[in-house]
Amino acid sequence: MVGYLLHVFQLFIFNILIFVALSNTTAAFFNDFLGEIGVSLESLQLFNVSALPAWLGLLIFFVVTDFVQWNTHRLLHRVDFLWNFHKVHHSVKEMGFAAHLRYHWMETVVYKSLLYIPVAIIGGFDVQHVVFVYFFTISVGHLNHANLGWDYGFLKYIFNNPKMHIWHHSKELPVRYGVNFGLTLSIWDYLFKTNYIPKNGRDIELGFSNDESFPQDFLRQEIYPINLKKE
Amino acid sequence: MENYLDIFINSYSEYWNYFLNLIYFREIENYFYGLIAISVIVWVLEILFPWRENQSIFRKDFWLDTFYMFFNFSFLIFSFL
Ligand SMILES: [Zn+2]
Ligand SMILES: [Zn+2]
Repeated sequence: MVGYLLHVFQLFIFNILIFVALSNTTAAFFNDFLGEIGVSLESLQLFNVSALPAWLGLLIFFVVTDFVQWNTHRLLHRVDFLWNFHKVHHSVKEMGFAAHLRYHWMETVVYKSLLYIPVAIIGGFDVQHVVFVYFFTISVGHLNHANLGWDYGFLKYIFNNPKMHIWHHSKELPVRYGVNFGLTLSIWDYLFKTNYIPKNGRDIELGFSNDESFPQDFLRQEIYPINLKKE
Repeated sequence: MENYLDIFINSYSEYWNYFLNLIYFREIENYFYGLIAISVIVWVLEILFPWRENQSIFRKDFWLDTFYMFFNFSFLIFSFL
């Protein structure tokens, strides 16, 4: 047990180190790439939100980052290499608040790398505001995965909700690459016709096809995509 | 290419400077209390208004997911500071 915990802790520290290093390298790579093609980040900035009222800057940050993440989530389902990492999140068999943050750490790298671009293009975000948006999205994300039969009435067309997100976790899907990709906002799914709630999803089976052979514990889930490659 | 390697290596040492910064740590502690508060509130709602009524309060993978939650939340925190 102690050995197992130690191993997890080492993996944890190692992951954070790699992660921070990778993010910084991605940022530098992006800046250099722009330099190569002769544009600077400042000139790329469409506008700087620091000149706008605080609430508007906050709203823009929230909507833009949510849309980018909605697209990233679609990508996780569409590209086989990424889907192997995203399987961890879809291996949930019973919903509950903590299922929200059950995902492979590589997902954070993918999400953050793609988020860097729009956040750089729209400059001037305040860290305090970003923290506020983070906690709002974490609250909605927790609710999306909670064992609650809620959809917030007419707001369901704007905000993602438990009754909608459970269908994203459905084992049987109408289309191969999934439905209801929304994170905090559901509006993107309604706009781009990827919404799907055929009936009350309370008793549907969750998971993905062949999830019986997916590992059950943390360490094996972490190395699952790498192991697959070897086979 | 060497340039990227430098950034990669520097990130390690920069990270450790962060890690040793106590003020930074104190802020992080508050974020974790925030996460715990949200989790407890949503969990209490789940217990009071369960959708699937035959699901245990400590549902399948409850502890695994709790571990994932703190693990991945750390990344989120580290990545935006
Ligand atoms: Zn998904
Ligand atoms: Zn989910």
